[in-house]
Formats: sequence, structure tokens, C-alpha cells
Amino acid sequence: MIKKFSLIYFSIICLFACTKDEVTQPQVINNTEQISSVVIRLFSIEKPDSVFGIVWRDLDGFGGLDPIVEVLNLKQNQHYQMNMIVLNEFVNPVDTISNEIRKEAAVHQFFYYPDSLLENKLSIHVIDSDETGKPLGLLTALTTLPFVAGQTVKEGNMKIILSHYDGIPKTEKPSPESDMEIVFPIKISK
Amino acid sequence: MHKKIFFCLLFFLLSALELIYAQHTQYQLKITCIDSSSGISISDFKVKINKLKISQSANPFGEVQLTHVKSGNYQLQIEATGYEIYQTTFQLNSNLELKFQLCPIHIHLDEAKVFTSNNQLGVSSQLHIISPKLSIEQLNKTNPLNWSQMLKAMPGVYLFQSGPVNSIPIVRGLHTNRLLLVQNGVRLYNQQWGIEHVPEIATENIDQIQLLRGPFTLKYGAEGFAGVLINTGPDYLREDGFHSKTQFAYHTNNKAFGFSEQLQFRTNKIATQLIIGFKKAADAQSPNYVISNTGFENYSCQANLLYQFSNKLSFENKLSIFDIKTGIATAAHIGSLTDLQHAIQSNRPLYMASSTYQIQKPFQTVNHQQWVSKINYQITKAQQIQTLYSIQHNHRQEFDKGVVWSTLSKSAAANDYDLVTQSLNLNYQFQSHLFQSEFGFDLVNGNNITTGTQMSFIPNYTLVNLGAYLTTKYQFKAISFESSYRIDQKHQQVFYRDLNNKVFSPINTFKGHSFALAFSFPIVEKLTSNFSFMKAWRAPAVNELYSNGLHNSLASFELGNINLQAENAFNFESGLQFKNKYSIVKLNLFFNTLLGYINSTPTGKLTVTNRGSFPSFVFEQFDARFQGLELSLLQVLGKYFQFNYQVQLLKAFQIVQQKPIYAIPPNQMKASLDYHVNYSMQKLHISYMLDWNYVAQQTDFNPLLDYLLPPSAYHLIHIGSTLKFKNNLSFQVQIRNLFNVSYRDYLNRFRYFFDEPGRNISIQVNYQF
Repeated sequence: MIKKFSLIYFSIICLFACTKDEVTQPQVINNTEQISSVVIRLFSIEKPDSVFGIVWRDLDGFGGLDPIVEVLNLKQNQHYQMNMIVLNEFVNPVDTISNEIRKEAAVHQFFYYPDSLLENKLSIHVIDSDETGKPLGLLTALTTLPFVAGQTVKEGNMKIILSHYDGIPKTEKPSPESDMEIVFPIKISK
Repeated sequence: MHKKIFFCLLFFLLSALELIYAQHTQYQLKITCIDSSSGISISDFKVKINKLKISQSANPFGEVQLTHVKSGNYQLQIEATGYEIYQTTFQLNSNLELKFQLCPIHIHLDEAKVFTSNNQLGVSSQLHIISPKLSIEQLNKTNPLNWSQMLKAMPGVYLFQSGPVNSIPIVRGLHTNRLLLVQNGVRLYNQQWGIEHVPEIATENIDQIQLLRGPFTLKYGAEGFAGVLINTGPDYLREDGFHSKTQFAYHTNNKAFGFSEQLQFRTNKIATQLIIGFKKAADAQSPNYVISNTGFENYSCQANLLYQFSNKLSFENKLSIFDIKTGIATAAHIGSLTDLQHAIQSNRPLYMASSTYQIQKPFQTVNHQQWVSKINYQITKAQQIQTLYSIQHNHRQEFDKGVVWSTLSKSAAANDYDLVTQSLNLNYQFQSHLFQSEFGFDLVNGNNITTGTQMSFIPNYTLVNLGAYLTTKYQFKAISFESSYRIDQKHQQVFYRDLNNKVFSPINTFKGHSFALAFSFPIVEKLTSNFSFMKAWRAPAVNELYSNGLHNSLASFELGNINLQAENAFNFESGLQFKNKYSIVKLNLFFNTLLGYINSTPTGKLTVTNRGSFPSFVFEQFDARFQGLELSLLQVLGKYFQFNYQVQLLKAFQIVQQKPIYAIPPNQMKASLDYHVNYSMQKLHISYMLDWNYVAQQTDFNPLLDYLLPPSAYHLIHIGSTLKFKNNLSFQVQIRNLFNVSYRDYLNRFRYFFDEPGRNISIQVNYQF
């Protein structure tokens, strides 16, 4: 009786003792959900065919190398139209996430915060809006103010936050949860 | 308002009942026990008097006191671990003091009926001064919502919280992998590395918890520098029959309700237990607002079966299932460092809604299943061999709110950890008149599979741990000497992919020795002293070696360090205990040095991501010291009152740099005044309690490691009352945080976002037959 019981008991234990093959084959890294790059395209209202752009790009994901961040070079006393393009370049073909953001405009809004070094040198106004008329911010008007006498160059940074309003009403302030927060250096010259 | 009136009425009712029963005159009965071979008093025993339906554990003075017992003949039974069950009858016609001599179990093993879940020959530590033990009555004193909250009553335990309900225990500044948890006789293997990973232990299955320190901890592993928390379930029935225990609880703060049922059955050779539990809670409420998305749902089930082949051979199986879904406070779910700064600048949470039972994203679900199979064989009168096999399956899923453009994150978990661990233990026990010993082998095999839509903190891994241990105890009269030795070899292989999806599979092997010594002896009558020393080690955990990710709610980027070496702990503890008829005073001093202490430390650099720039933390090693003092006083005041007082002081710092260590519990004091009265013939027990808790402001902190200064000190007052009738029906009412104080706790990682919960009135009803 006891021998039979011992045999069954240890057989059950051996059965459970088998290890899973999945352990040695970790999940393939799938970056289908990530923002890898942000492209800003601008043109001057005064010179509509002078389109230029800069990029914020982090192709090795969180951690690792620092992202590549280009400097946004602007001229003083100009009116620009600025278009934000958010991309996932981890996947092929590249996924344009800003299209999804536009579709879900009711729960998203971009906020632009120039730092104190750019105070009185730059103003930004959101042009586009969601279905209810509340601002979205993929499309903006950027105005550089004229320099005072003797000034040649002004440098600073601009923080761009993509706010996510999930279950709470969209307001003029950023939501408690951000989907994206990046910083671009800006150089305004004469 | 109606609720307050109801509870006030209940208090008046309890008081009125007491007055009614106080009219009768009966006798007093006091029972004490001593060891028949050594003559020393036994402080841990239980008295059962069937005629009075009384089952009462000894108080800390080693006494069972019954008042207002009517004259008559009674049969009583005394049970104590390591001793024969003692049965006798006595006649009561005046106040009586009974002193019994209990025989150690090895003397009459042939007559012993091995019918218990505990080891008959179990080597029990006499160093109670350093290993506090709490019964279910003491653990229920806080009306806990989960297992960690039960530990609030345990001396020397503080809670590391992540929200109003979720918490893990922290002992003398150490937690997670350095504090071992034992359930159903085996170590709990879960994702213990995360401070927000609440242990999967159901409160319904607990009858007693002991914080084991000193040499005997090495039986369970080398890593338990802070101790081993041993959770013990209810004993099997000792006589043929059926037993049922039903419990219902309700908490007003988060509208939590819980139900549990315990069924026990025994025939001649078979004893069974079935324990099921269910709890559901809505959002918790601070004094000024609702803390949204902090509800939870919890199911648990425990099925035990003991089969007694003969007096020498028994076979036992235990199956437990624990399932929980917990909301993560919405206000604490931030995307960037700017969000955190906004949250800190605001006095109120940036997200608030009305209280609901609905759990939204972000939330986490955990399912833990454990099967334990044990065979006990009594070789001779004094020798026993035991095999203990367990398989545990821990499945943790963490669901993030995700981004709107994501289709995956709407259904799949952001992090999904699937851990299967098996352990096999062979244990040999020997017990003679003065000497006890255990010798055993451990084999542990674990496999973790990580999936999910986000980059996870830990990779896939396999783990094999082989260990052997020896514990001994020598007891001569009141002098006790304990020692232990353990050797372990740990083989760990991880599997992960780089960004090009190439698989890497590095292997880490660690080997180490641990040993411990402890002894206690009487200095003078009523004053006992004890010393203990332990050298132990811990291999770095997988997350400490390989983590690489962003902590959303902590707004920090955490990096593993593959160059980490094993930690080595040198614990020294000294204690004094004074015990007389009316008071017990315990003083413990500890001085723990951890060489190569592994801790997350700031790199001083920012990690730039598309979610902003975050301070980077990397796991590094330095030498650390944890030293402190624990003082407790238990004083009997007259016939009915009992006063408790506890002080815990702790200081932890880096030895070389003399800098404080992050997240060390602040100093604290607790005091309580209890009023108890027994009316034995009316089978009524009434008690009232008044608790005071004081937590000081943490002044030892490193501003580089935190975003916000430690919160101010706070005082809390709790009151409660318990009425037990006929020993099978009891009501318990408690009001915690009586004055609805707004406060934040230093060791709550969500203290940046909201206050702690406010006043909570809870009611608990127990019925057993």
C-alpha cells in the first residue's frame, strides 16, 4: 500500500518538475506602442515656401543612449506655422502616431512651455481643435518678437507636453498624466 | 449619521450587559504550567474546558486566568508545542491556583497521538524575547483588511505602503528579499522584489504569526537577515467531529466587506479543513477626499487534508489559492517628472471622483496557487523524518492605462510575470532530554517568464538553489543555547533580448555559508538576558542585476548592475527581559552590519526619454549599518486593566560616507490600555481597548534621494470593544483614526499624491460551533 502510494506521489512530483521551454525564449521586443521620434515642421508666414524641420529621435528606447535632439533655429520678428508629427520608427513601415492623436483629439492636448530665457521673445498659439472646439495643438502659430537694440542671438528651451485626459474633462491645464514630454533647444537670431 | 448612532448604541449595549453580569459572584481560577524535566515555566500553552466552552491561550505572563467561574467539577485539557497533551478533572469550590507539570513529548512518544499539522518533535525556540509571536486575537486587534495590516500589531514591524491598503512588512529597516515569508510550512515564492508586490497570504488562513529571529531562521534560507515571518493556520480537530467558523466584517472608510467560512471535519484517521474567504472594497477616503481607484477584490481558498496511516506515519496535503485585483490610485499614475512636480505642489490629488467599487486601469491582478505535500515518519521515540514538497504558481499582471493610440495595451497587460517554483525539503529531527537538533536539505527550482507590452523590470530566468542546514538546541534548566549552520549554492540563468532581438543568457552562480549562535540565561531571578549573533548572506536578486525601466509613480529610471556581488550580513542582538507577576519589560538592542548592502542609489544623471528627463538610479553596493532599540512594557493594573507600551528606535546609514539610507522607518511609540473581564458561567467576555500611536518625523534622510521632505510626525487614537458570548459568538467594533486626522506617512510611496485614509469604523462578527 505504502509502496504504491510512494510511487504515485513521486511520479506526480516528477510530472510537475518539468520546466517550460518558453523560459529560454524570451518575448520578442515589440515596440508597436512607442513614440520614437517627434518631427516639427515649420514655415514662415512671410515666406510660405521656406519649409524646414527638426527632429527629436530616440531609436534605442528608454535608457541607453541619449536621444538625438536638433536645435530649432528661428529668426526674430517672424510668424511661423508649426506642425507636430509624432512617429514610431521602431516599426516598419513607420507608424504616424499623430494621426491617432488627431482621431482621439477629445482626450489629447499639446502644451508648449518656452523657458524663462525665451521670455518675451516667443509666443505660441494653438490653431487646431477637437470636435467640441477645445484646443488640440498639433498645429500652432509661433511668433518671434523683435529684438531690442544690440541683441543678436537668444537661446533657450521649449518643453512640449502631450497631455492625456482619460475620464476627466479637458481643461486649459495639463492633465495629471502625460503621454509625452520632450524638450527642444531654440535659437533665435537676428 | 445613522451609522454613528448605531455604533454608539452598540457600545452602550456592551456596557449594559457588563453591568447585568457583574451582579453574580463566582470563583477565580488561575492556571500555570512548568516543564517537568527542567522545572522552567512554560509561557506558550492553551487551556480548553469543554463544559465552559473555553479555549484560551496563556497571556504573556504564562497564565490563564478565568474569573466568575461557578463551583462544580470540570475537565480541562492543556496543549503546548513540544509537550504531551495533559488532561485532568478538578473541583472548584473556592478561588483556585493550579500549576501543572507538562512532559516533553520525547518521554512518552509511544503514547503520543500524532494528529497535528505542527511537528510533534518540532524544535521550538525558547528565545521568545527576540521572536515575538501573535495569536489570532492579537492579530485581529487592528481589524486588518489584508495580511500585511495584521502585522501592525507585531512589535518591531513597520509597513512600507503603496497606497491606502497595499503594503509590505519592513523589519528593522529591511524588507522584500531580506524578510522571508513562510506559509503552509514552506517559503512563499512570489515576485517579492517589488515593494508594491503585496504578499499573497489570506488573512482567513492565519491562526498565528511568529517573527522568527536568530539561529532557527537558517532552516528556511540564508537571506532572512530581518527574520522569518511564519504564518500558521488553525490546528486540526483533535477529536472526531465537525467544526464551523463563520466571519463577517464591514469597514466604513472604504465600504469594504468580507466573508469567510472555515469548516473542519475529523474521523479516526482523516482530518480535513476547508477555508474560503472573499473581500471587496471600494475607494479609500482620506479625511478630505476620496482616493480614487484604490478598491480591491480578493478571493481565497485553502483545503487541507491529513491522513494518519499509523501512529508513526502521516501524510498531509495543503492546497491554497489566492486571487486579488487591486486598483492603483489614479492620482499617483503620472507620466513625467513635471506631472510629479504638479502633484507635489497641489495639496489635493489632481484626480478625484466619487467613491466606487469599480476598479479602473491602472490595476494589477495576482493569482497565487500553492500545493504542499508533507510526509512525516516517526523512526524511533526521539527521531522523525519529514519530506516536504511544494509547487507554487505566481501569476502577476500589471495593467497600465496605456496610450490611446495603443491597441495592445487596451487588452494586454503592460507587465506579466509568470513564476513557477518547486521546492523539496528533507528534514531529520532528533530530540533527547536536553538536546534537540534538525538536519535537512533544500532543493528549489524556479522558472519565471516575463511578457507584456512594456519593457519589463525583470527578464526570464531559471533558478536552482541547493541548501543544507543543521540547527541544534541545548537546554539545561533555564539556560538555553542554540546554534545553526547552513550552506547554499544558487545557480541562476537569465534570458533576455537586446533591441535587435538577439537572445542573451548569462549565468550567475553564488555560494555561501551562514551560521548563527544564541543563548539566554537568567542573571537573577525574574531577569533574563540573551545574546545572538548571525552571519548570513544573500545573492543579488534578478531585478538588482538586470532591471532596466521607468518607475511611473516614482518618476525615476532604474538600472540593474551585473557586477553586483553577494551581500553579507553580521547581525548582533542583545536583550534583557524582566518578568514578575504584574509586569514584563523587554529591551532589545540590535546592531546589524551589511557588507555590500545592495541598494538603489542615484547616479546624479538624468535619463532623457519621450516622457521627460528622469533621475537615474542604479543598484550599487556599500557597507551599511542598521542599529536600534526596541523596548516594550506590559503592566497589569489591578484586576481588569492591562497597559502596553512599545518604543522602536532605528538608525541606518552608510558606514564609509556616514550618509542616511533611503526609506528607513521613522521612530515610533505605541501605547494601549485594555480592559478585560470574564464572566465564565455566563460565558461572556468583554473587552475595551484604547490605542495611541505616535510616528516621529524622519530626520535622517538624503535630500538627493527624494522629491519631498519627510512628512510631519503624527498621532493616531484608536478605540474598540469586543464581546464574546458562549465562546462561539463574538462582536468586535473598532474606530481607527478616531479624530479623523489628516496625515501622510513617510513610508508610503504615494505620499507625494494624497493623504492617508481617515476615520474607519469597522465591525466584525464571528460565529463558531
